[in-house]
Amino acid sequence: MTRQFFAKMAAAVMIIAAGLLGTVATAQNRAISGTVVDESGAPIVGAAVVVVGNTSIGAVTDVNGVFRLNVPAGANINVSCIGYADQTIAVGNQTNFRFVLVEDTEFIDETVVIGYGVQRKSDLSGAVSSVREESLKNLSTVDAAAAIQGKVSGVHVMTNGAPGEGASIRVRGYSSNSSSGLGPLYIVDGLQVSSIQYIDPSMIESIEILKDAASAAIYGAQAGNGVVLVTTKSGKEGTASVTYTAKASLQTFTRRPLMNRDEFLRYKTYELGEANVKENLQRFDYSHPYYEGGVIDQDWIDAYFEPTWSQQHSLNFSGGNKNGHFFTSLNWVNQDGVVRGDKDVYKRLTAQVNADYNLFKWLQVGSNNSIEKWSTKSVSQRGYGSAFESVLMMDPLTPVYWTKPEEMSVEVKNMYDQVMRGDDVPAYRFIGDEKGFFANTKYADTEGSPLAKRDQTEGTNGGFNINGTMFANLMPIKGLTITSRLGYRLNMSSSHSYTAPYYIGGRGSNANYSISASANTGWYYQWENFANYLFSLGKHNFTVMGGMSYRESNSDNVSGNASGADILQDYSDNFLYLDYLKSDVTKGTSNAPSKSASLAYYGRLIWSYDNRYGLQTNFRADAFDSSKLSPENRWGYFPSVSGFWNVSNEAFFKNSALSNVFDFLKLRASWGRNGNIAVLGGYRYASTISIGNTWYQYGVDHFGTAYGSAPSGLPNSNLHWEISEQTDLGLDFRAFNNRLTGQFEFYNKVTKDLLFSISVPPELGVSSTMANGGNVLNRGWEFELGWRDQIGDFGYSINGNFTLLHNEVLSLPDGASPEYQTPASSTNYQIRTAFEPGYPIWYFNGFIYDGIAEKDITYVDKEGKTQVMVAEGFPIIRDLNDDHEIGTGDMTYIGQTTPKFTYGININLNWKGFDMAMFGSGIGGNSILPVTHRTGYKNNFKWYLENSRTPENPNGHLPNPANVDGDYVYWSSTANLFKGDFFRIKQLQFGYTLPAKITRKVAISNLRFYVSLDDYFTFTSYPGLDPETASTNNTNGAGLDWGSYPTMKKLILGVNLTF
Amino acid sequence: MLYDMKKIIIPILTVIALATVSCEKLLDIPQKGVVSTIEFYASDADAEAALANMYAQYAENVGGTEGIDNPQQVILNYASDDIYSAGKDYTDHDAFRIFDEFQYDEASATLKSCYQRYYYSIYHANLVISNFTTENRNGTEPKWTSAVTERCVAEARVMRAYLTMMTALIWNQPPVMDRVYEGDEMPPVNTDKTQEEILQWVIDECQKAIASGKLPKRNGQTDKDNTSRMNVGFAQFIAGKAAVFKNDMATARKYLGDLIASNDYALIPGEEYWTNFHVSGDGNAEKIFEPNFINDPAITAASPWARYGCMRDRWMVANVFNWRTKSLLSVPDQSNSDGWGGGAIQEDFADKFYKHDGDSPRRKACFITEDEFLYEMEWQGSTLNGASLDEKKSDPGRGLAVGGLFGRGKYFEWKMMSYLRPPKILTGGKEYPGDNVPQFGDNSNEKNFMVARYAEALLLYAEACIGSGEESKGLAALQEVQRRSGSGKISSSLTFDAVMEEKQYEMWFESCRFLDLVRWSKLGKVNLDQIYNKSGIHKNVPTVHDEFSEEGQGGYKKYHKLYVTHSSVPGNSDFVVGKHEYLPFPRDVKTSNKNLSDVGGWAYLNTAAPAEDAE
Repeated sequence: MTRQFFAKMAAAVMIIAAGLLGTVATAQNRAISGTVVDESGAPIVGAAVVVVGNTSIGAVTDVNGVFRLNVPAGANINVSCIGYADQTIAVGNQTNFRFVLVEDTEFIDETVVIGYGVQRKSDLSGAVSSVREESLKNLSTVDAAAAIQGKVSGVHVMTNGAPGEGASIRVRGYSSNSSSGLGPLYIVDGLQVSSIQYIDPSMIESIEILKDAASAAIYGAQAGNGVVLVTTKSGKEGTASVTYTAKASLQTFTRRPLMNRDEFLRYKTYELGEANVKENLQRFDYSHPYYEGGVIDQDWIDAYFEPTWSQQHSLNFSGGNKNGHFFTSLNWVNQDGVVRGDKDVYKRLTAQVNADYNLFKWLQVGSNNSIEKWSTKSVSQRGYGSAFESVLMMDPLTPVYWTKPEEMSVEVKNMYDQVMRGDDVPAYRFIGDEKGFFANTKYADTEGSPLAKRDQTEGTNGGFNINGTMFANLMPIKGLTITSRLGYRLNMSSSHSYTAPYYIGGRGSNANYSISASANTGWYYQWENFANYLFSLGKHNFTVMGGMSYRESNSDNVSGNASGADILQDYSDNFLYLDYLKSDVTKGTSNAPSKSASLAYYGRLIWSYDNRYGLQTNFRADAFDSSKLSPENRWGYFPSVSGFWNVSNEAFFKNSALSNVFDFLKLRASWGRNGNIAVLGGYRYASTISIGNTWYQYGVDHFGTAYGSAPSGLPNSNLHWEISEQTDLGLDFRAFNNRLTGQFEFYNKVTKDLLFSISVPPELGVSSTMANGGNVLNRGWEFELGWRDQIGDFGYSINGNFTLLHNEVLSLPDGASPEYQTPASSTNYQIRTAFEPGYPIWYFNGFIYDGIAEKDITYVDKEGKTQVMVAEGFPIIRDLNDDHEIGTGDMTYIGQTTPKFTYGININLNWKGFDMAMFGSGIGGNSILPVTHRTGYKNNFKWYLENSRTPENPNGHLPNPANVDGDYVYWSSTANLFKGDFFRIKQLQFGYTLPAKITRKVAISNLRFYVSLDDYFTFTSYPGLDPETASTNNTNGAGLDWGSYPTMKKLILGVNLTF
Repeated sequence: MLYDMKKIIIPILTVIALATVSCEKLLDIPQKGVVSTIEFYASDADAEAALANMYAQYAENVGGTEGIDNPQQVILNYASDDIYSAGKDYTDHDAFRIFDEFQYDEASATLKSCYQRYYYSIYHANLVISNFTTENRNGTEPKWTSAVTERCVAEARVMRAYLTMMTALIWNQPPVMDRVYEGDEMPPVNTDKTQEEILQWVIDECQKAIASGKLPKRNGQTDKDNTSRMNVGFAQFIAGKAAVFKNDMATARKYLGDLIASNDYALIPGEEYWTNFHVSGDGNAEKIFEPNFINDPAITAASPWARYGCMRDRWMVANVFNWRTKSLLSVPDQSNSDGWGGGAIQEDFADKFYKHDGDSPRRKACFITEDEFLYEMEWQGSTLNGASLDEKKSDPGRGLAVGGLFGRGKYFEWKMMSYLRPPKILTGGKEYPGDNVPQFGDNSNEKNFMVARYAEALLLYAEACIGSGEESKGLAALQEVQRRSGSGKISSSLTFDAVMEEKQYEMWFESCRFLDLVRWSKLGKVNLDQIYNKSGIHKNVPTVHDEFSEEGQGGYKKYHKLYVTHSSVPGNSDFVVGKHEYLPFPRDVKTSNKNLSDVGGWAYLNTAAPAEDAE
């Protein structure tokens, strides 16, 4: 069966190859032929045989490993095949050849970075996903975390469209009720960092994700949610190069989901009645000079977004010899988001310097450093009253500008007149630009135009970070490496904000000046000492590792603020700092340095036998400082064990037919225990007194306040971290001469001892205390498949990955009740997210919509009277508890906020100098509930009009808008619940590399131009701005769409230049 | 040679460095901004801080609100027969109505909140007592004692006695928390003490505090500050009230008699009766104790949000008790513009009150009549406030909007309303401060929370004197209240009916009536089935309309004239005798406190626990 399949594949490949090569197969003067076999003598199908220096002449071996080719006299030919080392020979007079290709050890022996060491990929017994340099090149993202989106299975990356907003990573599910307990541990070149946003993907050699507990166990109490290891580039031995890459991106946003004037008026006519709409138009509508025919029809997405350009430049120098390596890189990013103006900007300048040197044979020293300077400005999104919410809600009847005060709404005009007259009112600004004042709607009571919201406050945020390590490797005896490594992070950031009084409307106004600034300083260091000792006894190979680590983190943040009707000595630009506050202004200040520290000992023993069996065991003992755990409970112990069986190296396998297909087949299994310390902090276990936190006034008619002190709560000295235990089963294989690679994985991860607030008898004086308890299950299947091949000049690869995830809260601790949150209560939506046994974490707890009542639905009450439950035309909400009323008792699971599956696909093609890459990723199974419906003249998605049952649309499946306006039960039901599924082609890139023989003439070794369409194509049924960013990473508010910064489409022009 | 040595020496040094760095002391990082519990409760200053905290916690919990309501105020007032939960319509203010109509159950959030708030407050009183006396878990000696700590303990003792009495009156047999219980302890079994025993314990505790001689004493009728804290008068009041509820009238006469004899308290003049319930009456001669709220800029200037702390969140209560301004044609002068009309005077009672009191200052302080409402009020939306009655009769800037006011007859209560500007009907044109704090907005609320005033003490004393040797003193006490009210009625003999009737008028909406009804029913003086069920008060709910606004009415667009329609309450609103006298224990509390079981008519809940709760 497999043979047949293989033959068919090969035949297909041959046809393609023949087509490609046929045109150049003439005008040759010498015919040669031969066979290509592997070391066991088996034919290698699809090996490329080409003339060196003229790759247009070539052939591919057939199913018997045979090739035929006409070559020029004196040519050298090169034979290559994926998974094998290339061979080049001079043709000479020979006409028949037999090539025995040797397996490419670099390919087979690919090493991966594991904690405190490296390991051959073939010896891995845990689940480690690796993303290599090649997959990180030429991406439009400047965030290392976003760069791995869709690249590997088991990893979900959530992005936001706003410039400078970092992506969040979730490894193998969602394990905690606390939002601080979900992210993985990040390690860059051995340095623990809190985010990898600062690393430009072009500086990265590889990213390893330690997914299973056994791989991550070496990081103990911090590894419960996986570990992301980033290795930055180092210089290559024997080569010196200078690489310059540049790209310019044109960013646009073209989705237009909102109702236009005509649609909006129709919707409001249904909702509020013809008379109401007519009256409102009579009162407020007028002929506006900026609109065609004077008719205002404003798309607020157009008003708020514009195409913008972003740039990125990077310059790398790299080199090395047998004594040392050097890599340095300068990277400049200037992103301007699609919001009009320059209020959404991310700027970053990063320098990376990596160097190592062998001082002696037994001593290598080195240092990796990253220096980053960054600044951001951002606009508000994802919340009540945010600029993005107002983009979605502003009616199309309101113009962007009032060109003169006469056009203003009555309340704004009144205030404007008062300010102009110099009445005793605050010094309001009326925000606008050269084209007029930013208009606010006259039809509703919104807080204001998104443009005015954008401009109401001036703020900057920026700083610099230095992240680095210095290390020494001592190699006193063969096989032993002792590493001492000092890692450090220094960061400094500051932010400033200034708001002058403004008046956008009655609700959108601020009478006060306010100013604030903060300066944050942090320094962190870690000192780690560990030794790796490798030795063999016969066919037994051992690696023993042991070490310790001390980490300390400090921060010292100072901030100040003031607010009032008149606070500054002057309001010119050069006075807008805290220094120029009037002396009698009340100032708020804050500062309290903080420190945390941890200590760990760890060890690992790896044993393998004859490349067939292997076992690995890890152990880590972790202790954290007194802010997290009581001294009695500070130590935690994290063991793990894993093993592999390399079936393909067994004699019975080699002798079986299977070996004709499979080049490599390995089974893996692992078990381990990790912790999650991120949920702890703030001395929660301690019994302390809060001083002066309450106050009482004994004086009935005179001032004087007595401050009270009391215990800060009921302490629980037994608190400890969350514990996750995970079992992993894996299967790795390569087949068809290493063209096909695959990995299947199953895991079962149970996170225990979540930190919960549990009820205590209120008679004890408090309602709750913190305790550990409760279990969350993440169970998943991961599939990765890749195919790559080279057919003459044509190389291609296809890689896909798919992850299925089952997430479920299994139990809560004694005394804890399910947690229900109402994250959208400010919008009157009833929808809840819940953390409850039997369901995925923070699922949607809402109402079930059963369609439109075709006639009155009635019931007979206790007194025998017939009552109408739902009137004709109104929405039927399922009465789950049968009490004839719709309330919280009728709320149930309606969807999950986390995806059930994620997937990604990568296709790379290259032919001669041309290359093409397609890369896409998607998620599915999650739901999104927009919380953008409001009563009155507020806009919303066109979808609602198109799906409502109205005279123009008698088959609509939603009730007439009149029957649901302000019915927030309905809006919190499945009627308003959407699939969050989407597939996005993240990148579609076409490149051309100029032939080396041309570029060499100007001393350029490589010159590539490319054009790329990033995030251009999205497949989704979600009617809002963007299903990807709609769902926030705010754990218990996930899935609610408030209006979020969408992913921008990017057209990228780029160049890569290497000297 | 040296080369070889180096490669050995350096690793050895590394190993030594490795060993020395492993110092666990580095992990001991002291917490900032707190003091360890071990070091606290060790000075006079600590005792004062613990005491201030006790008052703050009381004001925040029992005296404060959760959301829009104050749980104690809701439960005790709405459960009485003379207040109705009104609002936009029947579904509005549902959380109050369930107490009105006895439709609550053990899952009620207000019930839970009420229970928790009492016990949190008791705990904070216990922190003072257990840390400065040997009344703690092990009889441990306190770290510090002095005259100051003894005073603090005496104050905490009275506070705890008062709170415990309230829990006993509401829940019949609640657990008595007589010290700080630790995190690993369960509260005592509640059924171990009868209500009588709890009330006796309350009396004993008050006596202990009074006998200590350390309890602050009001320094004459003009001393306001001592009304904001536990004082001798309040201890006497609580001991007396507990004794009345225990039907131990001799003890009640003793304590209440001492209180009256102290001459530290007096009724204020009738024309100022209304100020008892507003800022201008804070700490007046009549006040025995009320938690104090004051806008101290030292706290509130820092942040506008401080109002929630300073006012103990009571700002939305101002909206609840304000008239429903959306249902009015314009906003009356004393109101803020955001009223929800949540508490109405029961129509039949208002009729009776009006007949009894007529135009007494007491009646006017409690509610106004149709004519007063329509024509004596100043309306912000009216241009005719100074005009003639005839002009006002067709003034479109006053009166009720179409649809009227649900839950009300033709009477408009405002006793507990927060006045933006005290109305002229009451002030007679004199200047009084408003109840709000202007910087916090029209609906803020600086009024003190009502706990105990002298009129109640007089009426309790009068009741305790019936049939005793002190009848004449009791009659004098009753007459003192009657005389001040301005109703014109003065009883010539001390009868139970006279006391009962006077108390309903005098103490209306002051959390007294429901507890009294329950007590009197046990004495056979009243019939709760008659009062709540047979009278039909819950089956005949009024809505008041204005002909001026209602199409088809004679006065439509011509003149104001109020009329009332009635509707019935859906569902079962019966008061079950033997059950609804007391509240059930909150379900969530029973889940965490295994020693707590329901008593009386609620005892069936103890066995009806759902099976999944079982281990």
